[in-house]
Amino acid sequence: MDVIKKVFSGKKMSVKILMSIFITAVAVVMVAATGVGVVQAANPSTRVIVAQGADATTLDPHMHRETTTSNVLSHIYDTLIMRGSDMSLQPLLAESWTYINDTTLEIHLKKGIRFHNGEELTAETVKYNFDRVTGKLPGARLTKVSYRYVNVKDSEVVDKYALRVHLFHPDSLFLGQLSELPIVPKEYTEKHGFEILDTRPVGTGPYKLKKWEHESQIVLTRNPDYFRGSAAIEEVVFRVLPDPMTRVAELMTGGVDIIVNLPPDSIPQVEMQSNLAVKTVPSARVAYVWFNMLETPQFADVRVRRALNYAVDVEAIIKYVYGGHGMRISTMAPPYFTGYDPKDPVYSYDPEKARALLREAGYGDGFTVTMLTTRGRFLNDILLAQTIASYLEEVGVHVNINAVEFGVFAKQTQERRIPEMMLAALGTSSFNVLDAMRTIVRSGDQAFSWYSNPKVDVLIDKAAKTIDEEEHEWLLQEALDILYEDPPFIYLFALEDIYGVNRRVDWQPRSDERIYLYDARILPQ
Amino acid sequence: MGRYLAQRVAHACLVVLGVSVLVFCISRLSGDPVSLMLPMDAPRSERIRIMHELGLDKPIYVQYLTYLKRLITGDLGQSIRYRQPVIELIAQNLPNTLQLAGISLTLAVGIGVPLGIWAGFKQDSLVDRGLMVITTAGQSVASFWLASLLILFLGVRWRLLPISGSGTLLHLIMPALTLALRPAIVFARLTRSSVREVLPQDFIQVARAKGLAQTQILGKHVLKNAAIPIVTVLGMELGVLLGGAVITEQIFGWPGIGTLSIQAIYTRDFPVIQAVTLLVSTMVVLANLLVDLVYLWLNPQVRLGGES
Repeated sequence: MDVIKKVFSGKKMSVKILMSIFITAVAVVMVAATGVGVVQAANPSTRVIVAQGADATTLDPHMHRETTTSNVLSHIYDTLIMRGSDMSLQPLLAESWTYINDTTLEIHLKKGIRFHNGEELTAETVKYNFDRVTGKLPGARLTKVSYRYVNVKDSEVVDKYALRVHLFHPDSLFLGQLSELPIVPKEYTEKHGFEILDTRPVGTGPYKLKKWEHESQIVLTRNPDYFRGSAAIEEVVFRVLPDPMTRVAELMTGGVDIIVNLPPDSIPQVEMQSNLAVKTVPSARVAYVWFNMLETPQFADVRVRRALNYAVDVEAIIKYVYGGHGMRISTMAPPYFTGYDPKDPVYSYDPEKARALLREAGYGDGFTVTMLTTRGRFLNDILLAQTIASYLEEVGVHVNINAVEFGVFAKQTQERRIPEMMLAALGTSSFNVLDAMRTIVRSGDQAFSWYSNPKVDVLIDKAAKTIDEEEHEWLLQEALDILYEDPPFIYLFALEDIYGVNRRVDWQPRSDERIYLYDARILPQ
Repeated sequence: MGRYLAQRVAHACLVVLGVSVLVFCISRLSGDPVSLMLPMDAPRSERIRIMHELGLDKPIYVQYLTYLKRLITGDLGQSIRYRQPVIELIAQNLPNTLQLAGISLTLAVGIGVPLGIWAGFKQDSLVDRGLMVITTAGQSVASFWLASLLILFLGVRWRLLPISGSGTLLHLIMPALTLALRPAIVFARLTRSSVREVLPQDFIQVARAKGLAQTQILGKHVLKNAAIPIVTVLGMELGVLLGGAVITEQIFGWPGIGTLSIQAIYTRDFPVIQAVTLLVSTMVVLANLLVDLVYLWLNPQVRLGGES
């Protein structure tokens, strides 16, 4: 007390005030200096930092379904087959594969590949992985990806580096699925239990886990013994930054090198900086407006559904709502999907024709419907809904928009309670339109489908079982032709993914939303 | 005194319980984690299986009773999203929020109180008037706006501070400033009012006449008078900040309870939502209880019904 009296006595009030504030600041500094850990700063020659909106939920590749988690895990684990930058299927852990009959796939592995702990990858390992995802391992919990492998009957080891996988039915999408099945080690998990993979992963991949600070960052470090050769970038960091504006700010100050979902409004800002680049890539996500055909009398009439397709100017929407960042497609297949046919007709913008069709169908006076849409789930979703609604208004169809938070949307759709129309985007990671059709077109209440056309169902079922590529494509195109004439949706466009990238990193984005840095490198300054 | 305490504690428990029930019901009515977890191509059977595994197919009151039973044994459950014990997640994130809250409040008191004293002594001067204008403007500022402004200038334009994340003192500055603004203003105005209230009183004139230094007057009388409202507000603000300043943590990528709870809400991670709510409501209630006790201690004239 005396010291304080001495220090403070005889001085002007303003000085005393400032001194108090200064003392507070010092106290704050001392307390704050007890912080733990340090967020990695971008180090030009060795480290690349990626900012995502969410943290990984686990490091066990069979126990999650999020892209944000896959992005991290695809560096630690490898799959048998991978998608190249053009999305075609290419060998990775598998050297070759062939169908020895319609339901049996024989896979030959590359020899001498080792996991991070030295364990060798053999056919036994791969069989173990199949057994795990098909629930055949006693005592193991069911994985989150198991529902995708219900068609796998079993697998048998043929020799040390070869195995056969037996399916219940022929499946044209099975090879694509293998590109999404990371391989985990057998001995390691048998010894420690599967739970260890949640936090202490061991894979064959180009990177190993260095540390994981939850909701903050995951740091990966290069695996020098990677079978395809050591990666060029020594350290990869995935930071968690939920706020898009913060991601942009960090990109601009060099705090991070790659950001996802760059808001189009920020594009000019980013492009203005000479050390930054905006990279776009057409994505596997396609937007549609669903017609609830099953419960809406107006949509039972195909003329009404065609009319509404003519009523919307999709090109204008892409240009003005999305700044050109979207790709108009005919029905459901962008050019990089199996099933795409460049000769497919596209609904033109023709409001006159729309009105004529509506009159013909007996709805010359129009009608009112509700459109369910997500809120902030994909870029400009609400704005898109409003724009579509205004086009429909012009032809007499009044649309009430019900924009809900994604949790509510997910619950409603999963419980199959949607109003007359719904706006959403469907991602198809297999890049095959069959997958999309099975999910949103094939009738039956398993899928996200409020449509029914028996002819299309037959074609879809047949294509699913047809392994011959040519015949498979032909069947898909037949189905798409029907879907053009008898549309389950207002066809819109394929979304584009927009990334902000620091030019010091030589990296290209992918259509499957994966951020994969094995092939990337840091350019010499 | 003892009865008062017992009453307050009982009341506190009721409040916490009420909040727990309310949040339990509301979160389940607005969605479920399974719908959010499943991609569009997942079959109906998968949804049914997972709902059952998580016990979400039972009636709400059954779910709540199960939750209570576990809670009594200290089991906060497992996060649906992370499949880790909730208590571990909270243990990881809580220290960060505590650090941020502590620093912000210290800043708020350290800046607000001296400024308030200054303005109070220099009654109606330029300093006083200036402070009033600034505080009024400051109270109207939204936290995310301030955060954006700080990031834009201190981070992007002038490259003085790191924009996001945690770890060093530098990372703390912007989020702490953002959070400290509003409480600092409250403290400044409170202190100013207290000072203005006390200064003209007779005993102050007497003290001055006796020749006591300004500092002594300040220490003995003014601050003691101001202490009561300041402590009250401090308690309330502490409760609020411990709730995990969600917006600020999101913007700065600060890995605290706020970030955890927002993620939990988006993904309907019920166990985490319940646990965080329990934690925050308990802390707020405790903070208020503590304030009441300190208040009693500071002002012995206040006792309850016939116990002096």
